[in-house]
Amino acid sequence: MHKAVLGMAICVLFILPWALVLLVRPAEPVPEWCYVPYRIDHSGTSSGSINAAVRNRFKADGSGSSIMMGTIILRDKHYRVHRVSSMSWYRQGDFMRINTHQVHVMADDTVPATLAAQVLFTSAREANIDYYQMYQLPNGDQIINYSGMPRLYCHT
Amino acid sequence: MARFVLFAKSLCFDADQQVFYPLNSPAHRIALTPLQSAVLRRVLNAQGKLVRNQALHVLFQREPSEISFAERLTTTIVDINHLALLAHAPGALIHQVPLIGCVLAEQVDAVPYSDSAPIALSPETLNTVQPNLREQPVVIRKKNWLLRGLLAGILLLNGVIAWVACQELAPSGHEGTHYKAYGQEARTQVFIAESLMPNSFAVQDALRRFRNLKPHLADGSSPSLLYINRSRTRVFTSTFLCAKPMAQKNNECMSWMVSAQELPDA
Repeated sequence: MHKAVLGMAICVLFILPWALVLLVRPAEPVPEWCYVPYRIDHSGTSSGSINAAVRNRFKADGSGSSIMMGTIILRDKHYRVHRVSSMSWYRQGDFMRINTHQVHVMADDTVPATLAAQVLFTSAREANIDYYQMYQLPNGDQIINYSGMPRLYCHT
Repeated sequence: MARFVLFAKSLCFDADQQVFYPLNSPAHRIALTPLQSAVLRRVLNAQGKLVRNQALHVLFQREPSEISFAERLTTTIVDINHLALLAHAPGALIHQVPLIGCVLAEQVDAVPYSDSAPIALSPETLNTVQPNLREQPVVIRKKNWLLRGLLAGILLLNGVIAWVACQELAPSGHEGTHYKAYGQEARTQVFIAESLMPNSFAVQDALRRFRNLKPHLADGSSPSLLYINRSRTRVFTSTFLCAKPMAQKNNECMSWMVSAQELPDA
């Protein structure tokens, strides 16, 4: 009996620190709405620019949607982007995993499929899994990091 | 059953009943206290070798007392020798070596004794039975302390590893969330990530691109604030253009990323 209690106490002492690591660890909050404007200027032979914004909705049940709207200018040609994606998301610590299930191209979207595959964010690509880190700023907005680089500003 | 005949089979010590009696007069019994009995048995098991005070101290710890160990030991040895004399022993049983320990008197000639076995046991039997009686309690106690220390060390190490993992998994500071002032670029105030040096390539390259490309906000106006982030390669510049300070809400910040078809040097 004495040995059993002692053994149990040792097991608890062994597991307790790791349980605390998992339980006490502060969870990074995920906003329901996230508005990300961005601009990419491209110089060189195929000069052009992308001026767009992504509006994400992360529902509490793990599903969500993403609307991308903006313009693409490539070799003096103008295209309009307007796509709606349905996705699911999963949070593990700082990391977000986004699984884009379907992408609906709206009627006013004029971007050719081949160009879209080259220049649009991965959130506008069907059957794509995306990973990034998301950190909250003191004002409640979020900084989104790709590969350790702060790349997007998310207005909540 | 633990009995010993002493002094050429004239005196018997029964460790179980804790008594002395002359072998020729078993009814004449002299009682010993449990402590006296334990000390005598410990000395007898040593087979004439010195029993150190540390080993005897363990026996005395079973009966706590305010009197010092040294004084109690001396009194106990004197009492044992006195009781042996009462049971017609021809001399002292135990000699005390001050500050070191106790030893069985040479003339005692102790032999284990049982009713079913002959009094004089063979030397082989002595060697196999008596060392076990002598050493077992001490060895087990040493092992326990060793195991306890080892276990405590493992638990401590486990705790330290968990603490390190906690620090690694939940970093308190994140790249791109803290900035410091850099200076002014035309009408734009420039901030750089806290980890960046003002003369670093990432900062100078971002400023060069900012001067050359003159980016603007979504409404076409020139940004009043520029926040330069860490950039791992020369291919990309990671910056935020803002109309208002980033710390406040509705700051109209937007990400401005530059891809200039530059490749890092080999």
